[in-house]
Amino acid sequence: MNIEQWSGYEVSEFVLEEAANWIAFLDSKNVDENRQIAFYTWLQAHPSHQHAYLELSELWAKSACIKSMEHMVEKSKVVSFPGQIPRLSIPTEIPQSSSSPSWAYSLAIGLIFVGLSLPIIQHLV
Amino acid sequence: MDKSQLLSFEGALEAFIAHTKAQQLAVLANMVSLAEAEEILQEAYLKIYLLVSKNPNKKQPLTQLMSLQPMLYSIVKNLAISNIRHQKVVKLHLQQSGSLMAENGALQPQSSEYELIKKDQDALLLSAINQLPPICRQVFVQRKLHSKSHADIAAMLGISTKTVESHLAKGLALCRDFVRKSKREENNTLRANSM
Repeated sequence: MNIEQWSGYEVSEFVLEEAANWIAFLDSKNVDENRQIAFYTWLQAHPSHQHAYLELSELWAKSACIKSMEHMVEKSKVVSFPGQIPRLSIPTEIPQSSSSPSWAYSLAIGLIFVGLSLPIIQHLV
Repeated sequence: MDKSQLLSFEGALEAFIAHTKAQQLAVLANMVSLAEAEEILQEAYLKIYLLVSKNPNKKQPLTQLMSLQPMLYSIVKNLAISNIRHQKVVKLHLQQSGSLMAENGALQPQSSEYELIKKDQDALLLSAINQLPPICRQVFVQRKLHSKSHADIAAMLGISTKTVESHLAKGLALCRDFVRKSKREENNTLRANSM
Protein backbone atom coordinates (compact mmCIF):
# COMPACT_ATOMS: atom_id res chain seq x y z
CA MET A 1 0.00 0.00 0.00
CA ASN A 2 1.48 3.37 -0.91
CA ILE A 3 0.78 6.68 0.76
CA GLU A 4 -1.70 7.84 -1.87
CA GLN A 5 -3.79 4.69 -1.56
CA TRP A 6 -3.61 4.89 2.18
CA SER A 7 -4.64 8.52 2.27
CA GLY A 8 -7.17 8.21 -0.53
CA TYR A 9 -10.61 8.82 0.75
CA GLU A 10 -13.28 10.96 -0.78
CA VAL A 11 -15.70 12.97 1.28
CA SER A 12 -18.80 14.42 -0.33
CA GLU A 13 -19.22 18.18 -0.73
CA PHE A 14 -22.30 17.98 1.45
CA VAL A 15 -20.42 16.41 4.36
CA LEU A 16 -17.58 18.93 3.98
CA GLU A 17 -20.11 21.73 4.12
CA GLU A 18 -21.61 20.23 7.26
CA ALA A 19 -18.16 19.95 8.85
CA ALA A 20 -17.32 23.56 7.95
CA ASN A 21 -20.64 24.69 9.43
CA TRP A 22 -19.93 22.84 12.66
CA ILE A 23 -16.44 24.32 12.95
CA ALA A 24 -17.69 27.87 12.37
CA PHE A 25 -20.56 27.27 14.77
CA LEU A 26 -18.33 25.88 17.53
CA ASP A 27 -16.00 28.85 16.97
CA SER A 28 -18.81 31.27 17.84
CA LYS A 29 -18.40 30.51 21.58
CA ASN A 30 -22.14 30.78 21.81
CA VAL A 31 -22.74 27.07 21.98
CA ASP A 32 -25.10 25.50 24.49
CA GLU A 33 -24.66 21.99 25.81
CA ASN A 34 -27.35 20.46 23.63
CA ARG A 35 -25.69 21.78 20.46
CA GLN A 36 -22.33 20.49 21.61
CA ILE A 37 -23.82 17.06 22.16
CA ALA A 38 -25.44 17.33 18.73
CA PHE A 39 -21.99 17.98 17.24
CA TYR A 40 -20.50 14.87 18.86
CA THR A 41 -23.47 12.81 17.74
CA TRP A 42 -22.89 14.02 14.18
CA LEU A 43 -19.15 13.39 14.43
CA GLN A 44 -19.52 9.85 15.73
CA ALA A 45 -22.25 8.95 13.29
CA HIS A 46 -20.09 8.28 10.21
CA PRO A 47 -16.40 7.91 9.24
CA SER A 48 -16.80 10.52 6.49
CA HIS A 49 -17.90 13.07 9.10
CA GLN A 50 -14.72 12.40 11.03
CA HIS A 51 -12.49 12.65 7.95
CA ALA A 52 -14.11 15.93 6.92
CA TYR A 53 -13.98 17.38 10.42
CA LEU A 54 -10.34 16.38 10.92
CA GLU A 55 -9.19 17.83 7.62
CA LEU A 56 -11.05 21.10 8.04
CA SER A 57 -10.24 21.55 11.72
CA GLU A 58 -6.53 21.16 10.96
CA LEU A 59 -6.80 23.74 8.19
CA TRP A 60 -8.75 25.99 10.54
CA ALA A 61 -6.04 25.72 13.19
CA LYS A 62 -3.22 26.27 10.68
CA SER A 63 -4.85 29.38 9.26
CA ALA A 64 -4.38 31.07 12.64
CA CYS A 65 -0.63 30.37 12.46
CA ILE A 66 0.08 32.54 9.42
CA LYS A 67 -0.08 35.87 11.23
CA SER A 68 3.70 36.18 10.99
CA MET A 69 3.49 35.97 7.19
CA GLU A 70 1.02 38.75 6.71
CA HIS A 71 3.78 41.26 5.94
CA MET A 72 5.02 39.03 3.10
CA VAL A 73 1.82 39.45 1.18
CA GLU A 74 0.92 42.41 -0.95
CA LYS A 75 -1.29 44.68 1.11
CA SER A 76 -3.86 44.95 -1.63
CA LYS A 77 -4.29 41.21 -1.41
CA VAL A 78 -4.73 40.87 2.33
CA VAL A 79 -7.66 43.15 2.75
CA SER A 80 -7.19 45.90 5.28
CA PHE A 81 -10.24 46.62 7.31
CA PRO A 82 -12.65 48.26 6.79
CA GLY A 83 -13.45 48.93 3.17
CA GLN A 84 -10.11 48.86 1.38
CA ILE A 85 -11.14 46.18 -1.03
CA PRO A 86 -9.60 46.95 -4.43
CA ARG A 87 -12.78 45.94 -6.24
CA LEU A 88 -14.86 48.30 -4.15
CA SER A 89 -12.55 51.16 -5.01
CA ILE A 90 -13.27 50.80 -8.74
CA PRO A 91 -16.58 52.74 -8.75
CA THR A 92 -14.85 55.71 -7.09
CA GLU A 93 -12.50 55.86 -10.07
CA ILE A 94 -15.27 56.03 -12.62
CA PRO A 95 -16.15 59.73 -12.07
CA GLN A 96 -12.52 60.55 -12.92
CA SER A 97 -13.39 60.01 -16.58
CA SER A 98 -15.78 62.99 -16.39
CA SER A 99 -13.18 65.13 -14.71
CA SER A 100 -11.60 66.09 -18.07
CA PRO A 101 -10.94 69.82 -18.62
CA SER A 102 -14.08 71.95 -18.72
CA TRP A 103 -13.16 73.35 -22.17
CA ALA A 104 -13.09 69.89 -23.74
CA TYR A 105 -16.88 69.76 -23.96
CA SER A 106 -17.13 73.16 -25.67
CA LEU A 107 -14.30 72.26 -28.04
CA ALA A 108 -16.01 69.02 -29.05
CA ILE A 109 -19.31 70.83 -29.73
CA GLY A 110 -17.40 73.51 -31.67
CA LEU A 111 -15.63 70.94 -33.85
CA ILE A 112 -18.88 69.14 -34.60
CA PHE A 113 -20.46 72.46 -35.54
CA VAL A 114 -17.50 73.34 -37.83
CA GLY A 115 -17.64 69.88 -39.38
CA LEU A 116 -21.35 70.16 -40.08
CA SER A 117 -21.02 73.63 -41.57
CA LEU A 118 -18.08 72.70 -43.87
CA PRO A 119 -20.31 71.68 -46.84
CA ILE A 120 -22.19 74.96 -46.51
CA ILE A 121 -18.92 76.96 -46.47
CA GLN A 122 -17.60 74.94 -49.45
CA HIS A 123 -20.85 75.57 -51.28
CA LEU A 124 -20.63 79.32 -50.62
CA VAL A 125 -16.93 79.42 -51.70
CA MET B 1 -16.23 15.87 34.92
CA ASP B 2 -16.66 14.27 38.40
CA LYS B 3 -14.30 11.63 39.74
CA SER B 4 -16.39 8.55 38.92
CA GLN B 5 -16.86 9.75 35.34
CA LEU B 6 -13.16 10.51 35.05
CA LEU B 7 -12.28 7.02 36.27
CA SER B 8 -14.65 5.36 33.86
CA PHE B 9 -13.38 7.58 31.08
CA GLU B 10 -9.75 6.75 31.86
CA GLY B 11 -10.67 3.07 31.96
CA ALA B 12 -12.45 3.40 28.64
CA LEU B 13 -9.40 5.07 27.14
CA GLU B 14 -7.16 2.24 28.30
CA ALA B 15 -9.55 -0.30 26.80
CA PHE B 16 -9.67 1.72 23.56
CA ILE B 17 -5.87 1.80 23.35
CA ALA B 18 -5.64 -1.91 24.11
CA HIS B 19 -8.16 -2.61 21.35
CA THR B 20 -6.51 -0.49 18.64
CA LYS B 21 -2.80 -0.12 19.37
CA ALA B 22 -1.43 -3.42 18.02
CA GLN B 23 -3.22 -2.94 14.71
CA GLN B 24 -1.95 0.63 14.35
CA LEU B 25 1.60 -0.38 15.23
CA ALA B 26 1.41 -3.07 12.52
CA VAL B 27 0.26 -0.49 9.97
CA LEU B 28 3.09 1.85 10.93
CA ALA B 29 5.75 -0.89 11.11
CA ASN B 30 6.79 -0.62 7.45
CA MET B 31 6.88 3.14 7.38
CA VAL B 32 8.56 4.46 10.48
CA SER B 33 10.73 3.16 13.28
CA LEU B 34 9.11 1.62 16.34
CA ALA B 35 10.04 4.63 18.47
CA GLU B 36 8.47 6.99 15.93
CA ALA B 37 5.38 4.79 15.71
CA GLU B 38 4.98 4.90 19.49
CA GLU B 39 5.33 8.68 19.42
CA ILE B 40 2.79 9.03 16.60
CA LEU B 41 0.28 6.83 18.42
CA GLN B 42 0.73 8.71 21.66
CA GLU B 43 -0.03 11.99 19.92
CA ALA B 44 -3.04 10.49 18.11
CA TYR B 45 -4.52 9.06 21.33
CA LEU B 46 -4.00 12.40 23.05
CA LYS B 47 -5.94 14.20 20.31
CA ILE B 48 -8.83 11.73 20.54
CA TYR B 49 -8.78 11.95 24.33
CA LEU B 50 -8.93 15.76 24.29
CA LEU B 51 -11.75 15.74 21.78
CA VAL B 52 -13.96 13.22 23.58
CA SER B 53 -13.27 14.70 27.02
CA LYS B 54 -14.94 17.94 25.86
CA ASN B 55 -18.21 16.18 25.05
CA PRO B 56 -20.81 17.18 27.68
CA ASN B 57 -22.38 13.75 27.16
CA LYS B 58 -20.38 11.49 29.47
CA LYS B 59 -22.39 8.35 28.83
CA GLN B 60 -20.75 5.23 27.41
CA PRO B 61 -17.23 6.63 26.97
CA LEU B 62 -15.88 3.43 25.43
CA THR B 63 -18.61 3.40 22.78
CA GLN B 64 -17.83 7.03 22.05
CA LEU B 65 -14.13 6.34 21.69
CA MET B 66 -14.72 3.25 19.55
CA SER B 67 -16.95 5.22 17.21
CA LEU B 68 -14.03 7.60 16.61
CA GLN B 69 -11.75 4.86 15.29
CA PRO B 70 -11.82 6.23 11.71
CA MET B 71 -10.62 9.54 13.08
CA LEU B 72 -7.84 7.85 15.02
CA TYR B 73 -6.68 6.10 11.83
CA SER B 74 -6.73 9.40 9.94
CA ILE B 75 -4.73 11.19 12.62
CA VAL B 76 -2.17 8.37 12.68
CA LYS B 77 -2.00 8.42 8.90
CA ASN B 78 -1.50 12.20 8.75
CA LEU B 79 1.21 12.13 11.40
CA ALA B 80 3.00 9.26 9.65
CA ILE B 81 2.87 10.98 6.26
CA SER B 82 4.20 14.21 7.69
CA ASN B 83 6.94 12.25 9.47
CA ILE B 84 7.96 10.46 6.25
CA ARG B 85 7.90 13.68 4.22
CA HIS B 86 10.01 15.40 6.82
CA GLN B 87 12.55 12.56 6.77
CA LYS B 88 12.68 12.67 2.96
CA VAL B 89 13.36 16.40 2.91
CA VAL B 90 16.03 16.09 5.58
CA LYS B 91 17.69 13.23 3.69
CA LEU B 92 17.65 15.19 0.43
CA HIS B 93 19.03 18.24 2.13
CA LEU B 94 21.83 16.25 3.71
CA GLN B 95 22.72 14.68 0.37
CA GLN B 96 22.77 18.07 -1.32
CA SER B 97 24.69 19.85 1.37
CA GLY B 98 27.41 17.21 1.41
CA SER B 99 29.31 15.49 4.12
CA LEU B 100 30.42 18.67 5.87
CA MET B 101 26.89 19.41 7.01
CA ALA B 102 26.41 15.80 8.04
CA GLU B 103 29.56 15.90 10.10
CA ASN B 104 28.41 19.04 11.84
CA GLY B 105 25.29 17.27 12.97
CA ALA B 106 21.82 17.13 11.47
CA LEU B 107 20.06 19.30 14.00
CA GLN B 108 20.46 22.62 12.23
CA PRO B 109 19.54 21.49 8.72
CA GLN B 110 16.56 19.58 10.11
CA SER B 111 15.13 22.62 11.76
CA SER B 112 15.79 24.89 8.77
CA GLU B 113 14.19 22.42 6.36
CA TYR B 114 11.26 22.09 8.68
CA GLU B 115 10.91 25.87 8.64
CA LEU B 116 11.00 25.80 4.85
CA ILE B 117 8.20 23.23 4.63
CA LYS B 118 6.13 25.20 7.09
CA LYS B 119 6.68 28.43 5.13
CA ASP B 120 5.54 26.68 1.95
CA GLN B 121 2.39 25.47 3.68
CA ASP B 122 1.74 28.91 5.14
CA ALA B 123 2.24 30.56 1.74
CA LEU B 124 -0.26 28.14 0.21
CA LEU B 125 -2.74 28.93 2.92
CA LEU B 126 -2.28 32.66 2.38
CA SER B 127 -2.92 32.21 -1.34
CA ALA B 128 -6.04 30.27 -0.42
CA ILE B 129 -7.25 33.11 1.77
CA ASN B 130 -6.41 35.69 -0.90
CA GLN B 131 -8.62 33.99 -3.45
CA LEU B 132 -11.70 34.13 -1.22
CA PRO B 133 -14.57 36.43 -2.27
CA PRO B 134 -14.01 39.92 -0.72
CA ILE B 135 -16.52 39.90 2.15
CA CYS B 136 -15.81 36.29 2.98
CA ARG B 137 -12.09 37.08 3.01
CA GLN B 138 -12.57 40.10 5.23
CA VAL B 139 -14.48 38.03 7.75
CA PHE B 140 -11.95 35.20 7.57
CA VAL B 141 -8.92 37.51 7.94
CA GLN B 142 -10.48 39.36 10.85
CA ARG B 143 -11.25 36.14 12.66
CA LYS B 144 -8.13 34.11 11.94
CA LEU B 145 -5.39 36.70 11.51
CA HIS B 146 -6.66 39.43 13.79
CA SER B 147 -8.51 37.19 16.29
CA LYS B 148 -11.63 39.37 16.32
CA SER B 149 -14.76 37.84 17.84
CA HIS B 150 -17.80 36.99 15.73
CA ALA B 151 -19.72 39.80 17.46
CA ASP B 152 -16.96 42.35 16.73
CA ILE B 153 -16.81 41.37 13.06
CA ALA B 154 -20.61 41.50 12.81
CA ALA B 155 -20.62 45.02 14.30
CA MET B 156 -17.82 46.23 11.99
CA LEU B 157 -19.52 44.96 8.85
CA GLY B 158 -23.09 45.62 9.91
CA ILE B 159 -24.10 41.99 9.47
CA SER B 160 -25.49 39.39 11.85
CA THR B 161 -23.26 36.97 13.77
CA LYS B 162 -25.06 34.18 11.92
CA THR B 163 -23.83 35.69 8.62
CA VAL B 164 -20.30 35.94 10.05
CA GLU B 165 -20.55 32.25 10.89
CA SER B 166 -21.72 31.37 7.40
CA HIS B 167 -18.88 33.39 5.79
CA LEU B 168 -16.37 31.57 7.98
CA ALA B 169 -17.79 28.18 7.03
CA LYS B 170 -17.80 29.11 3.36
CA GLY B 171 -14.27 30.53 3.59
CA LEU B 172 -12.96 27.40 5.25
CA ALA B 173 -14.53 25.14 2.63
CA LEU B 174 -13.14 27.30 -0.21
CA CYS B 175 -9.66 27.33 1.34
CA ARG B 176 -9.80 23.56 1.58
CA ASP B 177 -10.74 23.28 -2.10
CA PHE B 178 -7.90 25.60 -3.10
CA VAL B 179 -5.28 23.78 -0.99
CA ARG B 180 -6.41 20.38 -2.21
CA LYS B 181 -6.39 21.50 -5.84
CA SER B 182 -2.92 23.05 -5.51
CA LYS B 183 -1.52 19.93 -3.84
CA ARG B 184 -3.03 17.73 -6.53
CA GLU B 185 -1.42 19.87 -9.25
CA GLU B 186 1.89 19.79 -7.38
CA ASN B 187 1.74 15.99 -7.12
CA ASN B 188 0.94 15.70 -10.84
CA THR B 189 3.91 17.92 -11.69
CA LEU B 190 6.21 15.90 -9.44
CA ARG B 191 4.96 12.67 -10.99
CA ALA B 192 5.43 14.03 -14.51
CA ASN B 193 8.97 15.22 -13.70
CA SER B 194 9.95 11.90 -12.19
CA MET B 195 8.89 9.96 -15.29
